[in-house]
Amino acid sequence: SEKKSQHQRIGLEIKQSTKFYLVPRDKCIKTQYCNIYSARYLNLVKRFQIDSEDPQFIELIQKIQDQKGTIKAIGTLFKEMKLKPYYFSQNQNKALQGRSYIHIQDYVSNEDVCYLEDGSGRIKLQISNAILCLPNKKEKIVNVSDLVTGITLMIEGQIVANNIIKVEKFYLPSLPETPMLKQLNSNSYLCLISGLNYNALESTTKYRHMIDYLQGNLYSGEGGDIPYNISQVIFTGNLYCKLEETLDQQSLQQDFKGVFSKIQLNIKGVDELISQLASVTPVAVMPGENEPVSQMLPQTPLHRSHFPETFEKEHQLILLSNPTEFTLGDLKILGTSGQNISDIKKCSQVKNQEDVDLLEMTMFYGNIAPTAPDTLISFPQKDQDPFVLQELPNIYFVGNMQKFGTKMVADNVRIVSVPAFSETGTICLINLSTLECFPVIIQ
Amino acid sequence: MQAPVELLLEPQHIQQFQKELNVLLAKQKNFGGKEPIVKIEVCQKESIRYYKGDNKKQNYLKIYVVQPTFVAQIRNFLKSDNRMVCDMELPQLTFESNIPYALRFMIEYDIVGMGWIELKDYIIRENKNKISSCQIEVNIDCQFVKAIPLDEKSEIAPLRILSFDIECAAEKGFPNEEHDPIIQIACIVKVHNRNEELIRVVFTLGDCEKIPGAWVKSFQKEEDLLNEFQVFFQGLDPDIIIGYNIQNFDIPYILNRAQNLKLKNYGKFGRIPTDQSTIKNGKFLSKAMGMRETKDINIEGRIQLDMMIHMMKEHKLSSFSLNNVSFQFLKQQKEDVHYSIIYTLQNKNPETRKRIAVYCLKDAELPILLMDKLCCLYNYAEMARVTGVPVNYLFMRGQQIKVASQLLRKAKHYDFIIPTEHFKSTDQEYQGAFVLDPVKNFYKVPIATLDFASLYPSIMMAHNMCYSTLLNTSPFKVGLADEQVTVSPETNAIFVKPNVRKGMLPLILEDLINARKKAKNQLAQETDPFKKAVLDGRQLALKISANSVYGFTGAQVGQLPCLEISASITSFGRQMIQFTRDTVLEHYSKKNGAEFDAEVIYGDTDSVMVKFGDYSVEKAMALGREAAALISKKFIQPIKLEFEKVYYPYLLMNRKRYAGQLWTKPDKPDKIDTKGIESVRRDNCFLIRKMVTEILNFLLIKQDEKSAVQYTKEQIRNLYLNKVDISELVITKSLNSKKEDKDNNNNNNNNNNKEKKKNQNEDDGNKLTKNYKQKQAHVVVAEKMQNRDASNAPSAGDRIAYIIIQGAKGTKTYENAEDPVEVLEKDFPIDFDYYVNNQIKKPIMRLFEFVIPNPESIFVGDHTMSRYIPKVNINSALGKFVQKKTACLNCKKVIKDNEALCNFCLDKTLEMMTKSSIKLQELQINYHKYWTTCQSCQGSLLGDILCSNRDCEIYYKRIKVQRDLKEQWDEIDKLYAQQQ
Repeated sequence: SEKKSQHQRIGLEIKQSTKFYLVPRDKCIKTQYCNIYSARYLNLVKRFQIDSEDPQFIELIQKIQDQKGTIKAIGTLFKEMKLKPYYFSQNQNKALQGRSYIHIQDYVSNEDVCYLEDGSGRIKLQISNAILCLPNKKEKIVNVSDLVTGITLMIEGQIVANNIIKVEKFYLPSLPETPMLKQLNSNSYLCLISGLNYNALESTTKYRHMIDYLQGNLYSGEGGDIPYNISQVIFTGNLYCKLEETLDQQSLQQDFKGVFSKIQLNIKGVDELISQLASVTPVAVMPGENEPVSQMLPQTPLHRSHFPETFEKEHQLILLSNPTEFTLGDLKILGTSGQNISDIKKCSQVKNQEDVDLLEMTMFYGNIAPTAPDTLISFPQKDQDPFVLQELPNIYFVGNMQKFGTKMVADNVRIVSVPAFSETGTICLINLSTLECFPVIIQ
Repeated sequence: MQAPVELLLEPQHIQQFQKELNVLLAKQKNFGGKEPIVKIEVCQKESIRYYKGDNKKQNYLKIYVVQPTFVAQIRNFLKSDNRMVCDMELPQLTFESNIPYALRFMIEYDIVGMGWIELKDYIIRENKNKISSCQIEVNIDCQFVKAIPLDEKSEIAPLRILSFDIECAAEKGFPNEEHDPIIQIACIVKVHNRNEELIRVVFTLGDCEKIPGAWVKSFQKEEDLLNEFQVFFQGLDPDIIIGYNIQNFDIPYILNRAQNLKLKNYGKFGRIPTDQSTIKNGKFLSKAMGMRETKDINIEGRIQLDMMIHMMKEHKLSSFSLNNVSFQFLKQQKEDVHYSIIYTLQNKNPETRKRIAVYCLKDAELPILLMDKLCCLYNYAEMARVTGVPVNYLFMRGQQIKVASQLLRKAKHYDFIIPTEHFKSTDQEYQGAFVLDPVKNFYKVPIATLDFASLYPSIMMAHNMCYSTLLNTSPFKVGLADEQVTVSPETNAIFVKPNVRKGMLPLILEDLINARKKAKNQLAQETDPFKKAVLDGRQLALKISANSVYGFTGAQVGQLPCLEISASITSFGRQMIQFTRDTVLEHYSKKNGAEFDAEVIYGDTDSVMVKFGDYSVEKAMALGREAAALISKKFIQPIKLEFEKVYYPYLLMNRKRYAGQLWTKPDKPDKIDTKGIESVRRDNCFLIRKMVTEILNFLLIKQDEKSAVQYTKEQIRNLYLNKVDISELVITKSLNSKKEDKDNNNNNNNNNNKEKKKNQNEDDGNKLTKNYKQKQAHVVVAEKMQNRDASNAPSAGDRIAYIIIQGAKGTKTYENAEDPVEVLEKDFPIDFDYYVNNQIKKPIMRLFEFVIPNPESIFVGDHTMSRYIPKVNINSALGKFVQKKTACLNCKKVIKDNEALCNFCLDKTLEMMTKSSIKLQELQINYHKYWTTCQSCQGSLLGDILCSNRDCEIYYKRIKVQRDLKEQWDEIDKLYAQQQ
């Protein structure tokens, strides 16, 4: 405890932006999903470099008939996936298989077809080894299986048949301006932890170790003073383990008490951990897909009643939405609990790529959740797409990934893929002065 | 006609006769002073009716006329009383005088419909001399037209197919051709056998945004739109016109609109420019479909294939809406934009008009997809080829002409001629097929099914039954010994055996059956998908044709009815079924060394169901095969009893009403086979269809009666607890025109009065009294909708969906029918008792009747006791006197409006929050699933979902989940708000 006092933690304040807080719901539930695509398109179309004199560029897809040869057009990509479990295919399977639903984890098939759409119409794309031009001037070869619904693109290609275009090149919108980075006077760290998947029925030793480490009570050799310089800990979703029982309305009535008693144990366990941690360092929590709260993105924050002990002791705990956007001191931070990236993996062949590369791609797409609302469950929006990147953050993190990874996407822009703690024992630390980022593995 | 003897003495007599007959005829106004007859020939023929002895050819006069229409006129003249020519009274009976001209020509030259012909020695007409819009016209003598046999050239020509759909905008109700304009016509053109479409065009009234992949042609005036469509149509020169309900709606609407707009020269859609297409109201009588009102539109030289009529003819469906049909066959739900929305969209802007155009194009595309999917063209082409009729006969005419065509062709070959008889419909009936009374039960042992393969055709062949082999006198009189004839059982009709004379009908049947064998062999070897489709179409056509021969002989208003034949066929059939039963019972009995006494539990027309005993499926199959072989031996070729399948288990509920698990291989069952079970009828709500299917799964696959009962009880409990999805309770009925409804009501009244007299004592609570006009639930709902929003009111032909809600005591059921959308929005309480007692009970009781001892018990007990108590409805009459109060989520104590829990229950916040969230998550997942499914069905990410397809279950779910989600979310918001 003597050591603790030598290191004064820098107090940095979290200021949440309102972006991921919802507009009044009664209006929105009657809003249709299509509006989010329109908002996305209108937002991103401005970010393409277009030469208005270019005769090959067609402003509206419907005008494609007036064109011959090579054309360029901007639109939203739609990938028709044969395996996507639509309502009807699900019900047919249900009839075949008795009463159980089939869970298809992977929607990718050889028969998938891509379309490009703007408000005026839709054209079919023929894609074989097309070039994807990234905003960082690099290029990539892509096929249908690499692409997902919802990204906004400019295509360059040949009209090969009625309403069919063979795509040669895809362009992505340009990145917003790079953010500033202010140096801090002393070392200060942001700690990211995801996927506790806390299960009260299993051993909780590793969680204790983690808390011990963060409290500075665990000897960790070199860099042993880091824990004392952590200004903020963020838990990015999946605090609790997934419920084994899938509950529908019917069984809920009968079995709720039993299920709740299990949930309650997990909630209590996590509350204890966080209460301990928050006694020494500021903590913020985001909900994830396992949490018993609203599932539609943006997810509403957890509730005070999930952390009765922490709040009773008046520790420093902030409840964040998912995705979340806030400033920590002068740093802009954006993060999600991972649903956006997992869904992209389901819908494309990119699952073999490094998680951090997928994060980077969402930066390049200018949209952190392109597959919402098509396959990613999200809230209907009236005239905005909150997932569009209006400005670059200093830090963009995504939780509940498989592997740790980090990259600088642009100057002063750090991205981090935070692996699930329950699987890897990994927590991530970011130096807030240098944006240097590294994992710490707690055995 | 048969030649009068006097004419045959001297050759000049015939010429004299022709002259006098011409003079006589010319006086008749029908002939316009022309001499109709060009030539009269004497020929040696025999009437097909009755065996009259060996080689009994007689002299007949073959009359050639100038114009095809004169054939019928002369026939009528001969039928009349003043048929004296040259002092001779001419015979009244004519032969083959009622054959359509085109068919006559084809028969003479052995040409078949959809076949190929070769022309020799022709001259191509110059353009200026052409009388049609065909690409090529030739002058040729008919003798140089030669049919190419199908073995040499069997592909179908690259026919040009136009599919189209029109949209009309009506301010109120269903479009009326007097004042509601055609606003769009969408056309899709395709060439048969080629995958890609040639072109898609949409003609629009008012500017319309472009559509990728389609040509949009916009017009400011409806007249211009219609004219341009005609120009496009003529230029395109399609061979086949298809669409959905085009014959009774689209084409007549276009023609009538043109007339109302006083367009000149309109309606030239045929290949003969001088012939305008006009609408004839007709009635189409067919035994298969009954009497229907139709509209016939003459479009010369093109085939009209209305997919709706096709579907109605070929398939039994609960609804023939394009939505339902495409869902059933293409597994695509179709967006359905209600016609009242179309009016609004049309009057807004080019963007909204584009929305209609996209929808309209989809409606034009679906018939093509359906046609391809169902191989319609192949099947029709093969049917035309097999029966030899022009392909359009298949759409316009019934079954008879097909058999007649084959009979005429065969008869011509054997010098038979067919009398043109005039029959009045008689009430004479003959005994039909034999049905062995079912021994109703739930059989948990394998039941083997023995079938006679093509029963009626094989009887006709085996016993050589034909017009030309039937005796109308004793065998002795025509010089035949008893062993040279067959006498039918019961009817005692006498037919000569094939060694005396082979009948025409058996010859036709043999050809058909051999051809089918050949086609099936080729089909098995063929790999090319197009040729496969042709061959499959052919074997199907051959099968249908073989089966329709029997019907031809029995059709009393038909061309050549012969009840001796049809009645004898069924009498043979009955005898065979009985014989089969007796043989089985005799052979497979303990008395004859079998392990069990076999039982015949049911037999219908051509099949017998046998319970051999408590054997395995495999053993039952072996016995079935053995029995089939044993019994087949006792019949004359080609009659054959076949063993095909075993049912195990088998639920036999009544005549033509059964369900069973079907096995064709001993190792695993094929499927569940049902007959006569209400799983498809639309009058039943989806819930009952679902329940019947599930119960059968329990009984037949899992063979778990307990679970079946439990499942049923669970469903009833759920229903009473309001846990059944509303879309499962929707009942739909189609709204007839007002007049028809009135007629129906009158009929109902009459019938009911009659019945009432019969059963004076019976309780007739639901029946009508004389002055009381019965209303039907769907009519009531239609009226309610009309009163709420006249512009959105349903009209005749619409399907009305409704739900029965709870009404005040003593109200009639129909008064409590309500629009499902209204029920959803206003949260009306559903009349669960109605659903249990009037919808579910009967069919479920039938299923369980032989399964459990007391099926009534399913409908009584605890599970029927707890009821959903509806929230008092602010919108209901009672609701006005009730003040809405908020209750604590946990203890139901009354609390303030913005609170979720009372002060005493605040410590339950987490529990309530968790419970509420789990409900919320399920609703969110459903919300997302429904709305994204509709978004993708609608075919665009960026367009609003407008669909109001009430045949689609998502429609209601979509609305309901919106409301439920909001409610649930409000609850959570209150929980969030309260403790902060």
